[in-house]
This record gives sequence, structure tokens and C-alpha cells, in this order.
Amino acid sequence: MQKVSLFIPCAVDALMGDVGADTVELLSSLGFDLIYHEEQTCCGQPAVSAGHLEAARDIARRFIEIFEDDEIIVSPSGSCVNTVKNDYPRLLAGEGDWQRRAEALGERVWELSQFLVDGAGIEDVNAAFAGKIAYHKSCHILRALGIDEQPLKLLNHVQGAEIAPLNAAEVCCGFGGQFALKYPLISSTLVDIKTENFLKSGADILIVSDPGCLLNIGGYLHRHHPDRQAMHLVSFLARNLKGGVGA
Amino acid sequence: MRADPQNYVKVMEEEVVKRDQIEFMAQVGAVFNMLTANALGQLEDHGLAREQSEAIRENTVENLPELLEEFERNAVANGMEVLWAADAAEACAIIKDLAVKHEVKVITKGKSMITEEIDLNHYLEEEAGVKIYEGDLGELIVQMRGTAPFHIVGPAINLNIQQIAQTLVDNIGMEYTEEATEIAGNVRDFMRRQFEQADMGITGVNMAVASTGSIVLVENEGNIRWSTGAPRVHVAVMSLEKVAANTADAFHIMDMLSRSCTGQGMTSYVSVINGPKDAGERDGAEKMYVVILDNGRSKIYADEELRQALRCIRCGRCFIACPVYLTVGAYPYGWCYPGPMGAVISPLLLGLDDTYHIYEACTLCGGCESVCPAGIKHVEMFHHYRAMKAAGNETFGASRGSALERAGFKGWAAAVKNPALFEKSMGLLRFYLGLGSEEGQVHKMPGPLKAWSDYRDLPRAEKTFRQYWAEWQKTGKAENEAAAKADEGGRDNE
Amino acid sequence: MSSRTMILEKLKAAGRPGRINREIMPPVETRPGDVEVFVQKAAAAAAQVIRTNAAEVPQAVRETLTELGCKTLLLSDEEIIKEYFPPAAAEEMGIEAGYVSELPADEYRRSIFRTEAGMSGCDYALADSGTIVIRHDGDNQRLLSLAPDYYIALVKTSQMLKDRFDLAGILEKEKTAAVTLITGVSRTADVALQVVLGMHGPRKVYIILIDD
Repeated sequence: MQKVSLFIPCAVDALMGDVGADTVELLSSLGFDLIYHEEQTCCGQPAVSAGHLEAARDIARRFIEIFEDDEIIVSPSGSCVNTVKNDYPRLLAGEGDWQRRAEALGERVWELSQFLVDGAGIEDVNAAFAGKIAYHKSCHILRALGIDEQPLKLLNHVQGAEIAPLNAAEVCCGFGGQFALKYPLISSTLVDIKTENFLKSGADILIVSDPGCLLNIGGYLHRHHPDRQAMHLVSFLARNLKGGVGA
Repeated sequence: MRADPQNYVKVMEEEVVKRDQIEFMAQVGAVFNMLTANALGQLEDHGLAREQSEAIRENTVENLPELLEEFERNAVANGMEVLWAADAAEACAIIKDLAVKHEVKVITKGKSMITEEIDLNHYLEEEAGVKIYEGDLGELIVQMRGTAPFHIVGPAINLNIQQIAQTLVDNIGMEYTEEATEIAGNVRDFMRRQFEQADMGITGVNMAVASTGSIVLVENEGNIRWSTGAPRVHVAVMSLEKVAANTADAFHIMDMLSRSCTGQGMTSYVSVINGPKDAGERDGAEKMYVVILDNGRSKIYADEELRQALRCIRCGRCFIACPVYLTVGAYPYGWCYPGPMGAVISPLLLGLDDTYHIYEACTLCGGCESVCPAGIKHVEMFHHYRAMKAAGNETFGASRGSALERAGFKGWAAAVKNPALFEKSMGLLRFYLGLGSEEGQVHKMPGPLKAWSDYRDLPRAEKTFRQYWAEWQKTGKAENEAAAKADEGGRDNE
Repeated sequence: MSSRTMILEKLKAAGRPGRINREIMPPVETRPGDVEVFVQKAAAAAAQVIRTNAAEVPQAVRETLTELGCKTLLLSDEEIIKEYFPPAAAEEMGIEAGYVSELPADEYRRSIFRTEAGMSGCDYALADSGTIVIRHDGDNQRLLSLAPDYYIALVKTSQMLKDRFDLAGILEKEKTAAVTLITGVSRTADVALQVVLGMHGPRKVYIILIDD
């Protein structure tokens, strides 16, 4: 069995452990042998976004040391994968070997849907769902990592699931990390617009591939439209596997 | 116009609640998204065209002094006078002296953001006693209303027809009408009178061509052709970076500009001007001046990482890709450069302290950079500004960032580097969040986190992933409560 | 130290690789343009395109002028005008007409703002964008195609280039003080995003396309 090292975002660890659990369950149901380095904590994205580069570099070097012996590293988070693949080499540019190590590691880090479809050639995870779903295109997954077809391929193979078109699917949900706390008026307006578009789509569930978006949209829905839900792509797949969870 | 970016938050709070404006801008965005996508899609090879425009701008930035010297040499040989201005004050003084020297009473203008940047109109009206008329209808309206342009190419796109009509009633004595054709017709007649009597035309420069010493100007309305063809003096103002190596490069940039901006393959008029009028000509300027303006750009140029800011071709495409701009509009940015391109250039020109919110109030969604024909990496730039602000940067007007924030990140980083401490801190955070939560969702959050819980809940799963993993390790299975709940919900529905 | 020196010194002091690439856009040999494409693009930009041959040009112009119902016409001093529609041809229709060169300077300034129609030839046409190109070298004044309410352009199919890059090659070698590229009718979308045709330029543009 292929060994996959889990890169679990700090937000998932702290607040959405179930998304991590779903990741474990989906990947193991597909036959992957899982490793989890317990000493992992955070990729350092908040420090990069806030411009605290020394802290970011320390964290980057530590991350590289933890993961660089793994062949395949998979994360249910596009923004975290982007930090490692695209920000680490820039952060560590001119630090001799560290830049090379960052680049080498970056080649082996995968966002989950990209890993399944491009890395492992899996488009059908053997799931079924009778209902309508819509897919929100997270900024980091779509634009920073160029991942668009892969999540849709996975969703298209979910037996019975109907993908409803989502207006302005590619527009930011307004999370932006610290942005949501620093500019709550703008952030909440953006998530409200995203929610409006979701409600208009007629879909039962909004599929979201990034934990940040999920916190934001999920939290907003729970407060204002508790009868509707957003779900991480991995949770949607894992919880709708034919044969049930943990089969 | 005078820059006032420090009022970002106050103005933003006023604008962000205008939901019909936001809905309107969303529609505008959707229309322009479609128009520009169509126009770019009509190119034989859009990908190649984009590579070429990025390469052209990179070529300019990498060879800027040489290209400017080449342009100057050829422009002077053509009969233009080329003047250099270190800053806004010098540029204004130069142009004022020209107005005085040439006994100018009336000036008509092409839309030019660089002349907005240096607040030229006010200066000339006060110091040289001239009357200045903006030829571009949108810019004329904005000039009359005394506000910032809402978009660099469509300055009045946020105004409804009633506002436009009233502005014209108040300023040129137009008879009130909501018929677009009549409104435009009234402005046409009004501006014709000014075009006829103008002594000087002032334009910007879309692109200067180094190899030929020409300037290229694009427009749809015709006011640039008027301002360059009718008055006896023409002054063209350009910032340093508006130069291309040859005509083909300049034309390609104009191609990408018009497709990315208004979705046009070619604007109604393109003027290629090489100098004062030829011997056989009746129309055209007797004297032509090009003012090359620095105003903070050589300072940007000196920094290898920031230099890419000078690639901008002023197409405005980034605006309609920006969720923040489409929500807060142009006014919070407080200057003639709103939107993502403003967020790139204003901090470098006005200083990072004064423009703090402009680069901070960004989700780093990357929409802007995904559509930029010049290949500017906006997200990288905003990362730079935030880092420069955090550390302090004298050159670019940044006092060292908040000590509290620094301390916060230091503490956070210490936890991140220490798994045991990290787990403990996570536990503590979860505990506090738990106080305000019910059924796995946090409703109320303390202190700085209140900004979140004022608007939304926050999921707080029963277990951390670590706890889940520990169980999974032991038993090969673990309780995934949220999944179980979902399952139950499913079974209930059957 | 002059601002010029200071600015250039500052720019040069910044370390750069520095090698001007002059072939980012591949140089093109002047390529002929597709007339059908030109007609379609010009019409899409709201120009009225009338296709004709050499023998029918005067008739086409007469019909256009009749349609416009104008009473005054200013003509460029180009050969093509002298050949196909000198002032006498307009006078025959009861239209006051003359060459620009016949007017003394101040009368020209008055006339150009008051004449209803202007007519000229052009130097090139760009098929892919429906554009006509005028090099203002003395026999075709800039305001003639800008100021009047109506503008008529005589274009020969033999003048048809493929696109702006063919023109770019030409402009690198031949220089006039001003070259104007005209595509259709001037317009604005600044009135609450409603497109209005005929803003500061002619309200109507006719292109008489001569097959030669």
C-alpha cells in the first residue's frame, strides 16, 4: 500500500477534527497506508500573511525537517499546501540549502483532490448521494494552485449527486485569515453574498475544499441559515461512501 | 487630487452598507467579466498574447533608463521638447510655466490619471488662471462633482443617470433629461465650444515608443484627438514606466489593454503622435512637450522586489476581479488609484503607514493577479508591504508595526515550534471557546475574536484531530462524532 | 543637478540585467488583409460600409450624401478625392463643397467646426479590426475626420493590411507627425453604462470600400 503522510492544518486539528477524521477514513478506504507526524503543528501561513517573516522562516524550516523524508504528503487544505509549495521557497530564498529543500519538499506536497485525481488516478471513490450539491472554488485551490477540474471530477463520480451551478463560484468568500477579524464588515458582507448565491443555487450542500472557507461559510450558515450546510469535500465523500463510514 | 487614504475605515464603513451599490457593482463586474473574456478569447492564442504582454512589461522595467533615453533622443529629433520632473510640484510648475509662456487661457484634456496624481487641474486653475475642461465624459462628471474617480477607465461607473444628469444641470446649465443620448449630446455641444477655443491640450501617454520617439494614445470618445489636434500647444504627461521598445510592443500592450478593459479589440481612435505638426498640416500643435515624471518611482525602481509595481498598464481589469473593491467601492482608497492596482502603487507612493488599510484589507484571493496582462504578482506585493510594515521601513514610510501584534506572533510562533506547548495552547483556546459554545458551535467569542462571533458561529468539534488519531491508532477505528451525527440525520430522513 | 540627471542616475544605479529585447513581438512582413473580415469588423463598430467598384464610386458618394441630407462638405486634398469626387460633383447636388487647401487658415478653422460632412481617403486599412489608418501628411487634415457630424472615408481594397502589427512595421520606417487609427464611430459608456454612439467625433461614419 502507498504510504501517505498526513498534513493536517492547525484549524482542522483545533476546530474541525472531524474533517481530519474524514480524511483518514476516506484515504484508508481507498487503500492508503497513513502516517501522521504528531510533532506537526502549523505551516505558518498566518505569519506569512501578516509579514512576520522571521517567525515564518523558523516555522518553515521546522516543517521541512518534519516532512522532508516523506514521499507523499497530502492535506485537505489548499491554502496550507500553497504556503508550503509557493511561499516557503520565497521565504527561504538565499538561505543556501533551505531553498532547495523547500522546493524539493514542495514537489511532494499535494492538496487532497489533486492527489486523488492526478497523483493516484482516482476519480471514483465509490460514494453515493441523492441530492443537489454546489461547489465553491476556494481562492488558493483555484488560483494559487490551479486546481479546478479535480474536485469536480471527484464530485461528478458520486453516484446520484447533482451538481448545481453556483453563481460567482470563483469569488472569494471573505475569510482571508486575519482579514475576517480585522475587517469584519467587509468579510461578513462577502460571506453573506456567497451565502445568497448558495441559497439561490437550490443545492442542499455547499462543498468547500478549504478549511478557512469552511469555518467562514459554515459558521455563517449555522448562525443565519441553520437548515443549510457547508461541508468539506473530504467529509462529503467520506460520509457518503457506499458501505458507510468506517467500512 | 489630494490623497486621503487614512480615512479608509471611516469611508469603508459608510460604503459597505450600501447593498444596492454592491449589487450594482456585482452586475457591472459580471458584464465586464463576460466582455473581456470574449475579447481575449478572440485572440488567436490568448496564452501567448499574455506571455508577450508580460514580457514586454518586464523588458521595459528591466531596461527603463535606456529606453527612456532612447525615447527622448528620438522624440527630440522629431521636434518634441522633453522635460523631466522629479516630483508633482516640479511637474505642475513646468506645465504652469508653459501655460504662461504660451498665453494659455483655455485647456482641454484627455483623461489622464497621472495628472490626477499630481493634482494638476487645481494647481493650474489657481496659479495660471486658466480654465480646464476634462474632455472625457466620465472624468468631466467626476471633476464637476469633486470626487475621486470610481475606476481608472470608467471614473463615473457608480453613478446612476439621475446623478449624472443633475451634475450637468448644476454645472453646465443643461436641461434635465434622463435620456443617455441627449445627455451625451449636451456634453458634446458643450465640449465642442471648449475644443474650439482651447489654446492648450493636456493628455497622458498610454505608451511612449522608444525606437521612434512617438507617443500612442487610445480612446473611444474623441477628446484626445481634439486635445492633440485643435490647440496650438500639446503637453503630454507620462510617468517613467510608460515606455515600450518599439511600435509593435506598444500596439500589443494597447491590444491587451483594450481587450482587458472594455472588451474591445480596438478602441474607436488610436493616435500615434510623433511631434508638433508637420509643415503641410493645419491641425495639430505648433509646440509639443512631453513631461516625464518620477514622483517616487525611481525609489520603487531601486528595490528589485518592488520594481514589478511599475509594470502596470492601467487597464483596470483587476478592479472587477477584486471582491473587496466590488464591495467597498473606490472612495475608501482615498485617491485617484483605487482597487488592486491602487493597492499596489499607492502604498509605494504615499507611504505604508498612511495606506495601511489599503494593503491590509485584502483577502489575498489572487483574483487581481490572475487577470493582470502585465504579469504583476499582487499577492507577493501585499506580502512585501505587510512584512515591511511589521519590521518598519523608513524608505517607504512605515513605522514599526504594532508591538502587541509582534508579541502575539512571537508567542504564537513559540507554540508552533513546540508541540507540547501547541497542544496545551490549543486546549486552552478550545476551553475558552467552549464557554461560548453549544452543540459543537461557538456562538460568543472573547475579546479580539468578537469580530468573528458578532457575525457568525464557529465550529468546535468534540475532539481535536490529535485525539481522534490517538484513538484510531489504538483501535484502528475511532468515533467520528460529527460523521455519526450526519449518519443519524440521514437515517432519520429515510 | 537637473532632475533629468538625477532621475536617470537613480534608475541606472539599481542593479539590472539590462538587455533590451526588440523581438518580443515577431516582426511581420506586410500581410494583406481579408476584406470580408474588414467589412464585418467595421460594421460591428457602427461604421456603414458600402462596397463598390471604381466605376460606381461617384454614385455611391452621391447616394450617401443624399441619405445624409447635408448641405456642406469639406474635402481632403488627396488624389482619390480629385479622381472620384471633386467639389464640382457635390455642387451639382446643391451641396456647398471645397477642398481644405482652398480655405485660408482662419476660414478653415471656422469651416471645420461648421461643416456638416467631411470626406477623405486613407493610407491603409486594417482588416482584423475594421480600422482605417490616416497619415496626416498635409493632404488629409486631422480634424476633417473628427469635427464634422458625418465622415465619409474612401478606402481601396488594395490598401488592406491584415492587422496593427503590419502597420507597426510601416510606422517604424515612415514617420508623419500624426497617424490616426479610426475604428467605427466614437462612443461613450460613461452615461450610466449605456453606450452612446457619436460622442466627440462624427455621429455617422461611412466607409466606401472600393474593389481594386
